[in-house]
Amino acid sequence: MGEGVAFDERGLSRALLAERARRVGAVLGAAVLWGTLVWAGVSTSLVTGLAVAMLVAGWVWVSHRDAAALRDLAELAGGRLGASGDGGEALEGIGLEEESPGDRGAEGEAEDAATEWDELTRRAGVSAWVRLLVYQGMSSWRERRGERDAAAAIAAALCRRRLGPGEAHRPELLLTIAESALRAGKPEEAYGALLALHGLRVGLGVAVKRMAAQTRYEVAIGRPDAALFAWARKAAMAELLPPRAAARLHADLADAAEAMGHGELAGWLRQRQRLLTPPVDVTA
Amino acid sequence: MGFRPTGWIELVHGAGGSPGEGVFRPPSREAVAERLAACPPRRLPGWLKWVPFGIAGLAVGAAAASPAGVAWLMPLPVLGAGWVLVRGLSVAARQRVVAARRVRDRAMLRRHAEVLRLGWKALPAVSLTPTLWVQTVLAMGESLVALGKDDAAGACFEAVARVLPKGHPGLARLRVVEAMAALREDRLTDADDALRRARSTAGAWGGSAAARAEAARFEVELGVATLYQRVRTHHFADGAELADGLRPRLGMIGVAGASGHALAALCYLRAGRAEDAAAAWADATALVPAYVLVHRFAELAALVGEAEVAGEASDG
Repeated sequence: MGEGVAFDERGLSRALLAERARRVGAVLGAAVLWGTLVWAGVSTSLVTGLAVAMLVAGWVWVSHRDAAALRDLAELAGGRLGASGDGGEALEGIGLEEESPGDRGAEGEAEDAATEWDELTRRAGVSAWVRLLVYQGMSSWRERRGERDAAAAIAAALCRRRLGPGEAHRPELLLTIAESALRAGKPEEAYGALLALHGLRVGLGVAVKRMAAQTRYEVAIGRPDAALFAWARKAAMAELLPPRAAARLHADLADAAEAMGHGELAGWLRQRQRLLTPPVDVTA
Repeated sequence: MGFRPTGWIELVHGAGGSPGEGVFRPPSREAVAERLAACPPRRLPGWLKWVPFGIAGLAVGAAAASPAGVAWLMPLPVLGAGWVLVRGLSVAARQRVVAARRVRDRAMLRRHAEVLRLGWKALPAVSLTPTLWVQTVLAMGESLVALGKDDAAGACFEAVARVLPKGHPGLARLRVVEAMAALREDRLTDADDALRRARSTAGAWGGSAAARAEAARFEVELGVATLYQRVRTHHFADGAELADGLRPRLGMIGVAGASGHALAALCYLRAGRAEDAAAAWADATALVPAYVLVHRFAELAALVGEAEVAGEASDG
Protein backbone atom coordinates (compact mmCIF):
# COMPACT_ATOMS: atom_id res chain seq x y z
CA MET A 1 0.00 0.00 0.00
CA GLY A 2 1.44 3.32 -1.00
CA GLU A 3 1.49 6.03 1.59
CA GLY A 4 -0.09 8.49 -0.83
CA VAL A 5 0.54 12.17 -0.18
CA ALA A 6 2.52 12.79 3.01
CA PHE A 7 0.78 15.11 5.45
CA ASP A 8 2.68 18.32 6.02
CA GLU A 9 1.23 20.34 8.88
CA ARG A 10 3.58 23.26 8.19
CA GLY A 11 2.38 23.28 4.61
CA LEU A 12 -1.20 23.55 5.84
CA SER A 13 -0.27 26.43 8.16
CA ARG A 14 1.58 28.20 5.34
CA ALA A 15 -1.36 27.80 2.95
CA LEU A 16 -3.80 29.17 5.52
CA LEU A 17 -1.53 32.11 6.28
CA ALA A 18 -0.93 32.88 2.61
CA GLU A 19 -4.65 32.87 1.89
CA ARG A 20 -5.34 35.20 4.82
CA ALA A 21 -2.54 37.52 3.67
CA ARG A 22 -3.97 37.57 0.13
CA ARG A 23 -7.42 38.56 1.39
CA VAL A 24 -6.23 41.21 3.81
CA GLY A 25 -3.94 42.53 1.07
CA ALA A 26 -6.82 42.72 -1.40
CA VAL A 27 -9.01 44.69 1.03
CA LEU A 28 -6.16 47.01 2.00
CA GLY A 29 -5.25 47.50 -1.65
CA ALA A 30 -8.84 48.41 -2.48
CA ALA A 31 -8.92 50.89 0.43
CA VAL A 32 -5.63 52.50 -0.65
CA LEU A 33 -6.85 52.72 -4.25
CA TRP A 34 -10.12 54.29 -3.08
CA GLY A 35 -8.27 56.86 -0.99
CA THR A 36 -5.84 57.66 -3.80
CA LEU A 37 -8.59 58.17 -6.37
CA VAL A 38 -10.65 60.34 -4.01
CA TRP A 39 -7.52 62.34 -3.15
CA ALA A 40 -6.84 62.75 -6.90
CA GLY A 41 -10.28 64.35 -7.27
CA VAL A 42 -12.23 61.54 -9.00
CA SER A 43 -15.96 61.58 -8.18
CA THR A 44 -16.51 59.93 -4.77
CA SER A 45 -19.74 58.28 -5.96
CA LEU A 46 -17.97 56.70 -8.91
CA VAL A 47 -15.02 55.51 -6.83
CA THR A 48 -17.26 54.11 -4.11
CA GLY A 49 -19.37 52.33 -6.72
CA LEU A 50 -16.24 50.83 -8.22
CA ALA A 51 -14.97 49.77 -4.81
CA VAL A 52 -18.27 48.08 -3.96
CA ALA A 53 -18.33 46.38 -7.34
CA MET A 54 -14.79 45.10 -6.78
CA LEU A 55 -15.63 43.83 -3.32
CA VAL A 56 -18.71 42.01 -4.55
CA ALA A 57 -16.77 40.60 -7.51
CA GLY A 58 -14.11 39.37 -5.09
CA TRP A 59 -16.75 37.83 -2.89
CA VAL A 60 -18.36 36.08 -5.88
CA TRP A 61 -14.96 34.81 -7.03
CA VAL A 62 -14.10 33.42 -3.59
CA SER A 63 -17.55 31.85 -3.27
CA HIS A 64 -17.09 30.28 -6.68
CA ARG A 65 -13.68 28.84 -5.71
CA ASP A 66 -15.11 27.54 -2.42
CA ALA A 67 -18.13 26.00 -4.15
CA ALA A 68 -15.89 24.31 -6.73
CA ALA A 69 -13.62 22.93 -3.99
CA LEU A 70 -16.59 21.67 -1.98
CA ARG A 71 -18.06 20.04 -5.09
CA ASP A 72 -14.78 18.26 -5.81
CA LEU A 73 -14.51 17.28 -2.14
CA ALA A 74 -18.00 15.77 -2.20
CA GLU A 75 -17.10 13.86 -5.36
CA LEU A 76 -13.85 12.54 -3.93
CA ALA A 77 -15.29 11.61 -0.55
CA GLY A 78 -18.81 10.66 -1.62
CA GLY A 79 -17.70 8.41 -4.45
CA ARG A 80 -16.14 6.18 -1.87
CA LEU A 81 -18.96 6.16 0.63
CA GLY A 82 -21.37 4.22 -1.54
CA ALA A 83 -25.12 4.35 -1.57
CA SER A 84 -26.96 4.45 1.69
CA GLY A 85 -29.16 1.45 2.12
CA ASP A 86 -29.88 0.85 5.77
CA GLY A 87 -28.99 2.55 9.01
CA GLY A 88 -25.64 0.87 9.25
CA GLU A 89 -24.56 1.94 5.82
CA ALA A 90 -25.58 5.47 6.56
CA LEU A 91 -22.93 5.54 9.25
CA GLU A 92 -20.26 3.97 7.17
CA GLY A 93 -17.17 5.73 6.02
CA ILE A 94 -15.67 7.46 9.00
CA GLY A 95 -14.24 6.32 12.25
CA LEU A 96 -14.73 2.85 13.55
CA GLU A 97 -14.97 0.90 10.35
CA GLU A 98 -12.21 -1.66 10.21
CA GLU A 99 -10.15 -1.72 7.08
CA SER A 100 -12.31 -3.13 4.35
CA PRO A 101 -10.75 -4.79 1.31
CA GLY A 102 -13.29 -2.99 -0.80
CA ASP A 103 -11.98 0.35 0.36
CA ARG A 104 -8.39 -0.41 -0.47
CA GLY A 105 -9.11 -0.83 -4.14
CA ALA A 106 -6.62 -1.29 -6.92
CA GLU A 107 -3.27 0.41 -6.47
CA GLY A 108 -3.69 2.48 -9.63
CA GLU A 109 -7.10 3.71 -8.54
CA ALA A 110 -5.72 4.65 -5.12
CA GLU A 111 -2.85 6.56 -6.71
CA ASP A 112 -5.28 8.50 -8.90
CA ALA A 113 -7.33 9.38 -5.85
CA ALA A 114 -4.20 10.40 -3.93
CA THR A 115 -3.23 12.73 -6.77
CA GLU A 116 -6.69 14.26 -6.76
CA TRP A 117 -6.53 14.82 -3.00
CA ASP A 118 -3.09 16.38 -3.42
CA GLU A 119 -4.43 18.75 -6.06
CA LEU A 120 -7.40 19.66 -3.90
CA THR A 121 -5.33 20.42 -0.81
CA ARG A 122 -2.98 22.66 -2.81
CA ARG A 123 -5.70 24.62 -4.55
CA ALA A 124 -5.28 28.37 -4.09
CA GLY A 125 -8.01 30.91 -3.42
CA VAL A 126 -10.22 28.80 -1.16
CA SER A 127 -11.39 29.92 2.27
CA ALA A 128 -9.67 28.57 5.36
CA TRP A 129 -12.72 26.63 6.53
CA VAL A 130 -13.06 24.96 3.14
CA ARG A 131 -9.37 24.01 3.14
CA LEU A 132 -9.75 22.52 6.62
CA LEU A 133 -12.82 20.63 5.43
CA VAL A 134 -10.78 19.22 2.57
CA TYR A 135 -8.15 18.00 5.02
CA GLN A 136 -10.90 16.48 7.13
CA GLY A 137 -12.15 14.62 4.06
CA MET A 138 -8.63 13.45 3.32
CA SER A 139 -8.29 12.19 6.89
CA SER A 140 -11.44 10.09 6.49
CA TRP A 141 -10.28 8.82 3.13
CA ARG A 142 -6.90 7.78 4.50
CA GLU A 143 -8.54 6.06 7.41
CA ARG A 144 -10.69 4.02 5.04
CA ARG A 145 -7.57 3.11 3.10
CA GLY A 146 -5.99 1.77 6.26
CA GLU A 147 -3.50 4.64 6.67
CA ARG A 148 -4.61 5.07 10.28
CA ASP A 149 -1.58 6.94 11.58
CA ALA A 150 -1.63 9.48 8.77
CA ALA A 151 -5.36 9.96 9.28
CA ALA A 152 -4.87 10.50 13.00
CA ALA A 153 -2.01 12.97 12.36
CA ILE A 154 -4.26 15.06 10.11
CA ALA A 155 -7.11 14.83 12.60
CA ALA A 156 -4.86 15.94 15.46
CA ALA A 157 -3.57 18.91 13.44
CA LEU A 158 -7.12 19.96 12.58
CA CYS A 159 -8.37 19.59 16.14
CA ARG A 160 -5.77 22.14 17.26
CA ARG A 161 -7.47 24.76 15.07
CA ARG A 162 -10.80 26.51 14.95
CA LEU A 163 -12.66 24.86 12.10
CA GLY A 164 -15.37 27.48 11.56
CA PRO A 165 -18.33 25.94 9.75
CA GLY A 166 -16.34 22.70 9.72
CA GLU A 167 -16.70 22.44 13.53
CA ALA A 168 -19.51 19.97 12.88
CA HIS A 169 -16.81 17.50 11.85
CA ARG A 170 -14.78 17.83 15.05
CA PRO A 171 -16.42 14.74 16.63
CA GLU A 172 -15.37 12.60 13.68
CA LEU A 173 -11.82 13.89 13.94
CA LEU A 174 -11.72 13.12 17.65
CA LEU A 175 -13.04 9.64 16.92
CA THR A 176 -10.25 9.12 14.41
CA ILE A 177 -7.66 10.12 17.02
CA ALA A 178 -9.19 7.88 19.69
CA GLU A 179 -9.48 4.92 17.34
CA SER A 180 -5.91 5.28 16.14
CA ALA A 181 -4.59 5.42 19.70
CA LEU A 182 -6.66 2.39 20.73
CA ARG A 183 -5.50 0.43 17.72
CA ALA A 184 -1.90 1.30 18.53
CA GLY A 185 -2.42 -0.02 22.06
CA LYS A 186 -2.12 3.43 23.65
CA PRO A 187 -5.41 3.91 25.48
CA GLU A 188 -3.92 6.77 27.52
CA GLU A 189 -3.70 8.78 24.29
CA ALA A 190 -7.33 7.98 23.46
CA TYR A 191 -8.52 9.34 26.80
CA GLY A 192 -8.21 13.00 25.83
CA ALA A 193 -10.08 12.54 22.58
CA LEU A 194 -12.87 10.56 24.28
CA LEU A 195 -13.13 13.15 27.01
CA ALA A 196 -13.40 15.92 24.43
CA LEU A 197 -16.02 13.90 22.56
CA HIS A 198 -18.16 13.64 25.68
CA GLY A 199 -18.11 17.42 25.90
CA LEU A 200 -19.60 17.83 22.44
CA ARG A 201 -23.16 17.61 21.27
CA VAL A 202 -23.18 14.83 18.69
CA GLY A 203 -25.69 13.15 16.42
CA LEU A 204 -26.85 9.57 16.66
CA GLY A 205 -24.22 8.26 14.24
CA VAL A 206 -21.28 9.68 16.15
CA ALA A 207 -22.84 8.78 19.51
CA VAL A 208 -22.93 5.11 18.54
CA LYS A 209 -19.33 5.21 17.34
CA ARG A 210 -18.29 7.00 20.52
CA MET A 211 -19.95 4.27 22.55
CA ALA A 212 -18.01 1.63 20.60
CA ALA A 213 -14.70 3.47 21.08
CA GLN A 214 -15.42 3.96 24.77
CA THR A 215 -16.13 0.23 25.15
CA ARG A 216 -12.87 -0.66 23.49
CA TYR A 217 -11.07 1.85 25.69
CA GLU A 218 -12.57 0.33 28.84
CA VAL A 219 -11.56 -3.17 27.78
CA ALA A 220 -8.04 -1.89 27.00
CA ILE A 221 -7.56 -0.30 30.43
CA GLY A 222 -8.81 -3.41 32.24
CA ARG A 223 -12.28 -2.21 33.22
CA PRO A 224 -14.50 -5.00 31.82
CA ASP A 225 -17.19 -4.11 34.35
CA ALA A 226 -17.51 -0.65 32.83
CA ALA A 227 -17.37 -2.07 29.29
CA LEU A 228 -20.14 -4.51 30.10
CA PHE A 229 -22.36 -1.89 31.71
CA ALA A 230 -25.66 -1.68 29.78
CA TRP A 231 -24.37 -4.38 27.43
CA ALA A 232 -27.87 -5.09 26.14
CA ARG A 233 -28.28 -1.53 24.96
CA LYS A 234 -24.80 -1.59 23.45
CA ALA A 235 -25.53 -4.82 21.56
CA ALA A 236 -28.74 -3.31 20.24
CA MET A 237 -27.05 -0.08 19.23
CA ALA A 238 -24.27 -2.00 17.50
CA GLU A 239 -26.83 -2.77 14.82
CA LEU A 240 -26.60 0.85 13.75
CA LEU A 241 -22.92 0.46 12.93
CA PRO A 242 -21.56 -0.96 9.68
CA PRO A 243 -21.27 -4.76 9.97
CA ARG A 244 -17.51 -4.83 10.51
CA ALA A 245 -17.59 -2.20 13.25
CA ALA A 246 -20.60 -3.94 14.83
CA ALA A 247 -18.65 -7.20 14.86
CA ARG A 248 -15.69 -5.42 16.48
CA LEU A 249 -17.92 -4.03 19.25
CA HIS A 250 -19.36 -7.48 19.89
CA ALA A 251 -15.82 -8.85 20.17
CA ASP A 252 -14.98 -6.19 22.76
CA LEU A 253 -18.15 -6.94 24.72
CA ALA A 254 -17.41 -10.67 24.53
CA ASP A 255 -13.89 -10.06 25.88
CA ALA A 256 -15.38 -8.09 28.74
CA ALA A 257 -17.98 -10.79 29.44
CA GLU A 258 -15.28 -13.45 29.53
CA ALA A 259 -13.18 -11.35 31.87
CA MET A 260 -16.20 -11.02 34.17
CA GLY A 261 -16.88 -14.77 34.01
CA HIS A 262 -20.17 -14.52 32.06
CA GLY A 263 -19.50 -17.47 29.76
CA GLU A 264 -22.98 -17.79 28.27
CA LEU A 265 -23.23 -14.12 27.46
CA ALA A 266 -19.74 -14.20 25.93
CA GLY A 267 -20.78 -17.14 23.75
CA TRP A 268 -23.86 -15.32 22.53
CA LEU A 269 -21.84 -12.20 21.76
CA ARG A 270 -19.22 -14.26 19.90
CA GLN A 271 -21.95 -15.87 17.82
CA ARG A 272 -23.29 -12.44 16.85
CA GLN A 273 -19.75 -11.28 16.12
CA ARG A 274 -19.27 -14.21 13.74
CA LEU A 275 -22.58 -13.52 12.02
CA LEU A 276 -21.86 -9.83 11.59
CA THR A 277 -18.35 -10.29 10.20
CA PRO A 278 -18.40 -9.90 6.42
CA PRO A 279 -16.30 -12.31 4.36
CA VAL A 280 -12.87 -10.99 3.42
CA ASP A 281 -13.21 -11.21 -0.36
CA VAL A 282 -16.25 -8.97 -0.73
CA THR A 283 -15.23 -7.79 -4.17
CA ALA A 284 -14.17 -11.18 -5.49
CA MET B 1 -28.75 -22.15 21.70
CA GLY B 2 -29.67 -21.86 25.34
CA PHE B 3 -28.87 -18.23 26.00
CA ARG B 4 -31.68 -15.84 25.10
CA PRO B 5 -31.39 -12.36 26.55
CA THR B 6 -34.77 -10.83 27.14
CA GLY B 7 -35.77 -7.28 26.58
CA TRP B 8 -32.60 -6.25 24.75
CA ILE B 9 -33.94 -6.04 21.28
CA GLU B 10 -37.13 -4.11 21.92
CA LEU B 11 -34.91 -1.04 21.96
CA VAL B 12 -34.58 -1.16 18.22
CA HIS B 13 -37.07 -3.75 17.02
CA GLY B 14 -40.10 -2.48 18.89
CA ALA B 15 -43.25 -1.61 17.06
CA GLY B 16 -42.41 2.08 17.23
CA GLY B 17 -44.41 5.05 18.35
CA SER B 18 -43.79 7.52 21.10
CA PRO B 19 -45.59 7.80 24.37
CA GLY B 20 -48.38 10.29 24.23
CA GLU B 21 -48.91 9.95 20.52
CA GLY B 22 -52.12 8.05 20.93
CA VAL B 23 -53.09 5.26 18.58
CA PHE B 24 -50.94 5.37 15.50
CA ARG B 25 -52.43 4.41 12.17
CA PRO B 26 -50.09 4.22 9.19
CA PRO B 27 -51.35 6.20 6.19
CA SER B 28 -53.04 4.50 3.26
CA ARG B 29 -51.45 4.20 -0.18
CA GLU B 30 -53.78 6.91 -1.51
CA ALA B 31 -52.86 9.31 1.29
CA VAL B 32 -49.14 8.74 0.76
CA ALA B 33 -49.42 9.14 -3.00
CA GLU B 34 -51.42 12.34 -2.56
CA ARG B 35 -48.91 13.78 -0.11
CA LEU B 36 -45.96 12.94 -2.34
CA ALA B 37 -47.72 14.43 -5.35
CA ALA B 38 -48.29 17.62 -3.35
CA CYS B 39 -44.62 17.81 -2.32
CA PRO B 40 -42.58 16.71 -5.33
CA PRO B 41 -38.82 17.33 -5.36
CA ARG B 42 -38.09 20.79 -6.70
CA ARG B 43 -35.03 22.81 -7.40
CA LEU B 44 -34.51 26.27 -5.93
CA PRO B 45 -35.48 29.01 -8.40
CA GLY B 46 -32.71 29.64 -10.91
CA TRP B 47 -32.80 33.40 -10.32
CA LEU B 48 -31.29 32.92 -6.86
CA LYS B 49 -27.81 32.50 -8.32
CA TRP B 50 -28.09 36.02 -9.77
CA VAL B 51 -28.80 37.51 -6.33
CA PRO B 52 -25.14 38.48 -5.60
CA PHE B 53 -24.94 40.30 -8.94
CA GLY B 54 -28.25 42.02 -8.23
CA ILE B 55 -26.98 43.15 -4.86
CA ALA B 56 -23.77 44.42 -6.46
CA GLY B 57 -25.72 46.34 -9.08
CA LEU B 58 -28.00 47.91 -6.50
CA ALA B 59 -25.07 48.83 -4.29
CA VAL B 60 -23.20 50.47 -7.17
CA GLY B 61 -26.38 52.25 -8.24
CA ALA B 62 -26.98 53.50 -4.71
CA ALA B 63 -23.43 54.80 -4.48
CA ALA B 64 -23.60 56.50 -7.88
CA ALA B 65 -26.96 58.14 -7.19
CA SER B 66 -26.07 59.50 -3.77
CA PRO B 67 -24.46 62.83 -2.93
CA ALA B 68 -20.67 62.81 -3.03
CA GLY B 69 -20.17 63.25 0.72
CA VAL B 70 -22.12 60.16 1.75
CA ALA B 71 -21.51 57.94 -1.28
CA TRP B 72 -19.61 55.40 0.79
CA LEU B 73 -22.58 55.18 3.19
CA MET B 74 -25.41 54.49 0.76
CA PRO B 75 -24.49 50.96 -0.40
CA LEU B 76 -24.44 49.73 3.20
CA PRO B 77 -28.22 49.17 3.56
CA VAL B 78 -28.27 47.31 0.25
CA LEU B 79 -25.34 45.13 1.29
CA GLY B 80 -26.99 44.60 4.69
CA ALA B 81 -30.25 43.52 3.07
CA GLY B 82 -28.31 41.20 0.78
CA TRP B 83 -26.52 39.66 3.74
CA VAL B 84 -29.86 39.09 5.51
CA LEU B 85 -31.24 37.42 2.38
CA VAL B 86 -28.22 35.12 1.96
CA ARG B 87 -28.24 34.32 5.67
CA GLY B 88 -31.96 33.52 5.53
CA LEU B 89 -31.43 31.15 2.62
CA SER B 90 -28.58 29.49 4.47
CA VAL B 91 -30.67 29.04 7.63
CA ALA B 92 -33.54 27.58 5.60
CA ALA B 93 -31.13 25.12 3.95
CA ARG B 94 -29.78 24.13 7.35
CA GLN B 95 -33.31 23.55 8.67
CA ARG B 96 -34.01 21.25 5.74
CA VAL B 97 -30.90 19.22 6.54
CA VAL B 98 -31.85 19.00 10.22
CA ALA B 99 -35.40 17.90 9.39
CA ALA B 100 -34.12 15.15 7.09
CA ARG B 101 -31.56 14.05 9.68
CA ARG B 102 -34.24 13.75 12.34
CA VAL B 103 -36.19 11.43 10.07
CA ARG B 104 -33.09 9.40 9.23
CA ASP B 105 -32.10 9.06 12.90
CA ARG B 106 -35.58 7.78 13.79
CA ALA B 107 -35.36 5.36 10.86
CA MET B 108 -32.05 4.03 12.18
CA LEU B 109 -33.68 3.47 15.55
CA ARG B 110 -36.64 1.84 13.79
CA ARG B 111 -39.11 4.22 15.43
CA HIS B 112 -41.44 3.82 12.52
CA ALA B 113 -44.34 5.89 13.77
CA GLU B 114 -42.03 8.83 14.41
CA VAL B 115 -40.39 8.41 11.02
CA LEU B 116 -43.77 8.72 9.35
CA ARG B 117 -44.92 11.61 11.52
CA LEU B 118 -41.73 13.66 11.11
CA GLY B 119 -41.29 12.69 7.45
CA TRP B 120 -44.85 13.71 6.66
CA LYS B 121 -44.26 17.12 8.23
CA ALA B 122 -40.81 17.58 6.68
CA LEU B 123 -41.81 16.79 3.09
CA PRO B 124 -42.68 20.36 2.00
CA ALA B 125 -39.35 21.66 3.32
CA VAL B 126 -37.08 18.86 2.10
CA SER B 127 -38.69 18.90 -1.34
CA LEU B 128 -36.44 21.89 -2.12
CA THR B 129 -33.39 19.62 -1.87
CA PRO B 130 -33.93 16.53 -4.04
CA THR B 131 -31.30 14.42 -2.22
CA LEU B 132 -32.95 15.05 1.16
CA TRP B 133 -36.37 14.40 -0.36
CA VAL B 134 -35.21 10.99 -1.64
CA GLN B 135 -33.68 10.11 1.76
CA THR B 136 -36.84 11.11 3.59
CA VAL B 137 -39.23 9.29 1.27
CA LEU B 138 -37.07 6.15 1.37
CA ALA B 139 -37.05 6.23 5.17
CA MET B 140 -40.84 6.57 5.16
CA GLY B 141 -41.11 3.69 2.69
CA GLU B 142 -38.93 1.43 4.81
CA SER B 143 -40.97 2.26 7.91
CA LEU B 144 -44.19 1.48 6.08
CA VAL B 145 -42.73 -1.88 5.05
CA ALA B 146 -41.79 -2.56 8.67
CA LEU B 147 -45.35 -1.72 9.72
CA GLY B 148 -46.73 -4.16 7.15
CA LYS B 149 -48.11 -1.46 4.84
CA ASP B 150 -46.44 -2.69 1.68
CA ASP B 151 -48.92 -1.00 -0.63
CA ALA B 152 -48.35 2.42 0.92
CA ALA B 153 -44.59 1.78 0.90
CA GLY B 154 -44.90 1.00 -2.80
CA ALA B 155 -46.15 4.57 -3.38
CA CYS B 156 -42.96 5.88 -1.75
CA PHE B 157 -40.66 3.64 -3.75
CA GLU B 158 -42.43 4.43 -7.02
CA ALA B 159 -42.08 8.14 -6.32
CA VAL B 160 -38.35 7.75 -5.68
CA ALA B 161 -37.90 5.55 -8.76
CA ARG B 162 -39.45 8.31 -10.86
CA VAL B 163 -36.85 10.88 -9.81
CA LEU B 164 -33.73 8.72 -9.86
CA PRO B 165 -31.82 8.89 -13.14
CA LYS B 166 -32.04 5.86 -15.41
CA GLY B 167 -29.34 3.34 -14.57
CA HIS B 168 -28.88 4.65 -11.00
CA PRO B 169 -27.78 1.78 -8.70
CA GLY B 170 -30.42 2.84 -6.17
CA LEU B 171 -33.08 1.70 -8.63
CA ALA B 172 -31.80 -1.86 -8.35
CA ARG B 173 -32.24 -1.73 -4.56
CA LEU B 174 -35.76 -0.38 -5.01
CA ARG B 175 -36.58 -3.31 -7.30
CA VAL B 176 -35.49 -5.72 -4.58
CA VAL B 177 -37.69 -3.97 -2.01
CA GLU B 178 -40.55 -4.01 -4.50
CA ALA B 179 -40.01 -7.72 -5.07
CA MET B 180 -40.11 -8.45 -1.34
CA ALA B 181 -43.35 -6.48 -0.98
CA ALA B 182 -44.89 -8.25 -3.97
CA LEU B 183 -43.90 -11.64 -2.58
CA ARG B 184 -45.48 -10.82 0.76
CA GLU B 185 -48.70 -9.90 -1.03
CA ASP B 186 -48.56 -13.04 -3.16
CA ARG B 187 -48.08 -11.09 -6.41
CA LEU B 188 -45.60 -13.62 -7.70
CA THR B 189 -45.48 -12.38 -11.30
CA ASP B 190 -44.76 -8.80 -10.20
CA ALA B 191 -42.08 -10.08 -7.86
CA ASP B 192 -40.45 -12.12 -10.60
CA ASP B 193 -40.51 -9.11 -12.89
CA ALA B 194 -38.94 -6.86 -10.22
CA LEU B 195 -36.21 -9.40 -9.48
CA ARG B 196 -35.42 -9.77 -13.17
CA ARG B 197 -35.12 -6.01 -13.52
CA ALA B 198 -32.91 -5.85 -10.43
CA ARG B 199 -30.60 -8.52 -11.85
CA SER B 200 -30.38 -6.68 -15.16
CA THR B 201 -28.70 -3.73 -13.42
CA ALA B 202 -25.64 -5.77 -12.53
CA GLY B 203 -23.34 -3.45 -14.50
CA ALA B 204 -24.76 -0.24 -13.01
CA TRP B 205 -22.48 -0.12 -10.01
CA GLY B 206 -19.31 1.09 -11.70
CA GLY B 207 -15.81 -0.28 -11.49
CA SER B 208 -14.29 1.42 -8.45
CA ALA B 209 -13.40 -0.64 -5.40
CA ALA B 210 -16.18 0.96 -3.34
CA ALA B 211 -18.67 0.32 -6.13
CA ARG B 212 -17.59 -3.31 -6.34
CA ALA B 213 -18.06 -3.70 -2.58
CA GLU B 214 -21.48 -2.06 -2.89
CA ALA B 215 -22.34 -4.39 -5.76
CA ALA B 216 -21.30 -7.39 -3.69
CA ARG B 217 -23.59 -6.22 -0.90
CA PHE B 218 -26.41 -5.77 -3.36
CA GLU B 219 -25.85 -9.33 -4.63
CA VAL B 220 -26.48 -10.57 -1.09
CA GLU B 221 -29.68 -8.50 -0.78
CA LEU B 222 -30.80 -9.88 -4.12
CA GLY B 223 -29.94 -13.37 -2.90
CA VAL B 224 -32.19 -12.95 0.16
CA ALA B 225 -35.07 -11.79 -2.07
CA THR B 226 -34.51 -14.75 -4.39
CA LEU B 227 -34.51 -17.07 -1.38
CA TYR B 228 -37.84 -15.63 -0.29
CA GLN B 229 -39.16 -16.22 -3.80
CA ARG B 230 -38.11 -19.90 -3.52
CA VAL B 231 -39.98 -20.11 -0.22
CA ARG B 232 -43.14 -18.49 -1.62
CA THR B 233 -43.12 -20.78 -4.66
CA HIS B 234 -42.36 -23.85 -2.51
CA HIS B 235 -39.08 -24.61 -4.28
CA PHE B 236 -37.40 -25.55 -1.04
CA ALA B 237 -34.70 -27.79 -2.50
CA ASP B 238 -33.57 -24.99 -4.82
CA GLY B 239 -33.77 -22.60 -1.88
CA ALA B 240 -31.58 -24.84 0.26
CA GLU B 241 -29.00 -24.98 -2.50
CA LEU B 242 -29.08 -21.21 -2.86
CA ALA B 243 -28.81 -20.78 0.92
CA ASP B 244 -25.63 -22.87 1.05
CA GLY B 245 -23.84 -20.25 -1.02
CA LEU B 246 -25.59 -17.26 0.49
CA ARG B 247 -25.26 -17.81 4.24
CA PRO B 248 -21.48 -17.27 4.53
CA ARG B 249 -21.92 -13.87 2.85
CA LEU B 250 -24.88 -12.63 4.90
CA GLY B 251 -22.55 -10.79 7.31
CA MET B 252 -22.13 -8.18 4.58
CA ILE B 253 -25.62 -6.85 5.21
CA GLY B 254 -25.34 -6.87 8.98
CA VAL B 255 -28.39 -7.63 11.09
CA ALA B 256 -30.56 -7.65 7.96
CA GLY B 257 -28.86 -10.98 7.24
CA ALA B 258 -31.12 -12.53 9.90
CA SER B 259 -33.87 -12.74 7.28
CA GLY B 260 -31.56 -14.76 5.04
CA HIS B 261 -30.64 -17.18 7.83
CA ALA B 262 -34.31 -17.61 8.78
CA LEU B 263 -35.48 -18.25 5.22
CA ALA B 264 -32.57 -20.63 4.76
CA ALA B 265 -33.71 -22.50 7.88
CA LEU B 266 -37.16 -22.98 6.41
CA CYS B 267 -35.75 -24.23 3.11
CA TYR B 268 -33.42 -26.65 4.91
CA LEU B 269 -36.24 -27.98 7.06
CA ARG B 270 -38.56 -28.56 4.12
CA ALA B 271 -35.68 -30.12 2.17
CA GLY B 272 -35.16 -32.62 4.99
CA ARG B 273 -31.95 -31.10 6.39
CA ALA B 274 -33.08 -30.70 9.99
CA GLU B 275 -29.63 -30.08 11.49
CA ASP B 276 -28.81 -27.35 8.99
CA ALA B 277 -32.23 -25.86 9.67
CA ALA B 278 -31.57 -25.73 13.39
CA ALA B 279 -28.17 -24.12 12.86
CA ALA B 280 -29.57 -21.50 10.47
CA TRP B 281 -32.48 -20.76 12.81
CA ALA B 282 -30.10 -20.37 15.74
CA ASP B 283 -28.05 -17.88 13.70
CA ALA B 284 -31.16 -15.97 12.67
CA THR B 285 -32.52 -15.70 16.19
CA ALA B 286 -29.12 -14.71 17.58
CA LEU B 287 -29.39 -11.60 15.42
CA VAL B 288 -33.11 -10.86 15.66
CA PRO B 289 -35.77 -12.32 18.00
CA ALA B 290 -37.98 -15.04 16.56
CA TYR B 291 -41.17 -13.02 16.93
CA VAL B 292 -39.75 -10.23 14.78
CA LEU B 293 -38.82 -12.72 12.07
CA VAL B 294 -42.25 -14.33 12.19
CA HIS B 295 -43.86 -10.91 11.99
CA ARG B 296 -41.73 -10.21 8.92
CA PHE B 297 -42.30 -13.60 7.22
CA ALA B 298 -45.47 -15.38 8.32
CA GLU B 299 -44.23 -18.69 6.82
CA LEU B 300 -41.63 -18.88 9.57
CA ALA B 301 -44.33 -19.46 12.22
CA ALA B 302 -44.33 -23.12 11.24
CA LEU B 303 -40.60 -23.23 11.82
CA VAL B 304 -40.38 -21.90 15.36
CA GLY B 305 -41.00 -25.16 17.18
CA GLU B 306 -39.74 -27.54 14.52
CA ALA B 307 -36.26 -26.12 13.99
CA GLU B 308 -35.63 -25.68 17.69
CA VAL B 309 -36.80 -29.22 18.42
CA ALA B 310 -34.63 -30.53 15.60
CA GLY B 311 -31.68 -28.60 16.98
CA GLU B 312 -32.18 -29.99 20.47
CA ALA B 313 -32.56 -33.52 19.09
CA SER B 314 -29.31 -33.24 17.15
CA ASP B 315 -27.57 -31.83 20.23
CA GLY B 316 -28.83 -34.77 22.23
